Amino acid sequence: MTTTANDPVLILGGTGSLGSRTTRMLRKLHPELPITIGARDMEKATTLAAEIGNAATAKVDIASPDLGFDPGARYSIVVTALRDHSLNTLRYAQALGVPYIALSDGVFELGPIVAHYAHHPKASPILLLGHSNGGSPTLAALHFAQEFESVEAVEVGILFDPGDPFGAVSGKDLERIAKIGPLPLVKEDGHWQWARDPLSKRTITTVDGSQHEGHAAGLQDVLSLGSATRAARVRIDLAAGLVASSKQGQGPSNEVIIEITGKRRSGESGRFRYELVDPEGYAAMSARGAAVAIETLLGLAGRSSPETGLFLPETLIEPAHLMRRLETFGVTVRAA
Amino acid sequence: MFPTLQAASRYEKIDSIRIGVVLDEQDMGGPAASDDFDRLTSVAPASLTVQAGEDVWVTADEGKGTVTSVDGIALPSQVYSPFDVLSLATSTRAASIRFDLAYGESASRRRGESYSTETIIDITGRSKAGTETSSHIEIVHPKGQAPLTALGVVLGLEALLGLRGEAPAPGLYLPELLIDPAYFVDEMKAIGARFDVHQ
Repeated sequence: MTTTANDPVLILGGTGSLGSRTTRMLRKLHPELPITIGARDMEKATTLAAEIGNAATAKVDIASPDLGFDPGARYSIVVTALRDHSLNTLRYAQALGVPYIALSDGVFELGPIVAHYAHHPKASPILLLGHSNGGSPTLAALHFAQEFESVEAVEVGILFDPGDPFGAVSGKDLERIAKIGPLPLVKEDGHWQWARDPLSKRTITTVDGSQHEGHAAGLQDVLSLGSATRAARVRIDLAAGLVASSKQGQGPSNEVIIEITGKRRSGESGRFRYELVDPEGYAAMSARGAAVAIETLLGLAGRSSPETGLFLPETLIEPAHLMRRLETFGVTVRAA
Repeated sequence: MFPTLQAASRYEKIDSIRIGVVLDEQDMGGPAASDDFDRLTSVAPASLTVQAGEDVWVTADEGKGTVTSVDGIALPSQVYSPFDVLSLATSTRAASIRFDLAYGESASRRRGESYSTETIIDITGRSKAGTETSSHIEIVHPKGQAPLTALGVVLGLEALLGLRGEAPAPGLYLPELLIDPAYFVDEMKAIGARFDVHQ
């Protein structure tokens, strides 16, 4: 089936916490790009479509193989910002022959989508983006890792403020992973391990120097960082606590602390620290990552779009491009 | 999995696939297999099933069941998700898939013989002739699981090396993409697996 980039971007779950922010971010980046907001709550969808302009709405029936859409509907990409346990949304994208972005799988849940890819390797591209914060911390870590000649460890810590709650889907994702997921995956001493206490814990020093207990998370970030760098130690830990901006009365931001241990090309060795602070909080940074992934898969980010394949964000998105986008969006990036 | 796929080829649409395996406690295999078993049953608290067309992860408590051994004795079992579940889900699109493992005493040992391994497969759905139909397949290997496990590895190697047809292009494969189910079943029989098929 032929589809052109003039067809609308389909954002499923487009009125949710991540979906609506992704829709707005994409609109900021591409004022003319047609967008269809796929949702169950049509009132919210219509309001959002009117707000961003050049947008349509479509009522989604996730249980139906055609998602309840008109058989003649055409889209340029399918973004799933809702939980789909049936793979109906993936099969829908592949029937249209357009790229697909999966936004919420934990490491342990990748089996069905990878098996689907093994059976249909020539169908349209699939991007696994169940990473924390829409892949922004991982891509940023890989951006900074380019300054290194050798990397021994990559450790990512994220501080969530109590005033910056998860969206409904993210909260449910984390609950689901906690209930049915395995122990969190980390790479330690060069071995992939399912971490128990105490390996599953780590103290994170956040932006204002305060310390928080972080817990390892089995998110896809570790797969990306572990494959891209070959570091012997790779982990992502999440912590809850007051962020620096909240303490200063400036509202809840989201703090990402990236620590890379290794030898820099300039010759210095040691542990180097980088910080990303999103003044709009966690969901906003996730949406920024998702929006950059969408523009990349549409071929709007200076790279041609792949026709087929299974991707992690770092195999598709130029880290430097993401960094430029984050800075444009007002995210603070600091090498400490 | 291969006998299931072979039986599945008779169906137009599959509603459900149940696979029950009896693994004798004397048939654990070597230290690597034992390590896999410990890891898969301890770090992963839930197993993958398919229910009403959706992937559903079932926790250990919810996953208790029974497998009826080939001599009619019901053995307590635990839901388990080896790659079979992924392969069957992708290949058949069955609305319901579940794999249960009973770890204990096999029927042959209850008869006073050596341990064996048993696989009990039940499929329901609509046949290509359009009628509601079902299959019940019992497979026993009198030497336990190791010969069947080794057969799978050997047939996989054979396919990857291009010793039967052309070697596959670089890529990511599941076994059903490389090995013909009918051939696999023939080779299972050739190494001593006994099939009792009702369909």
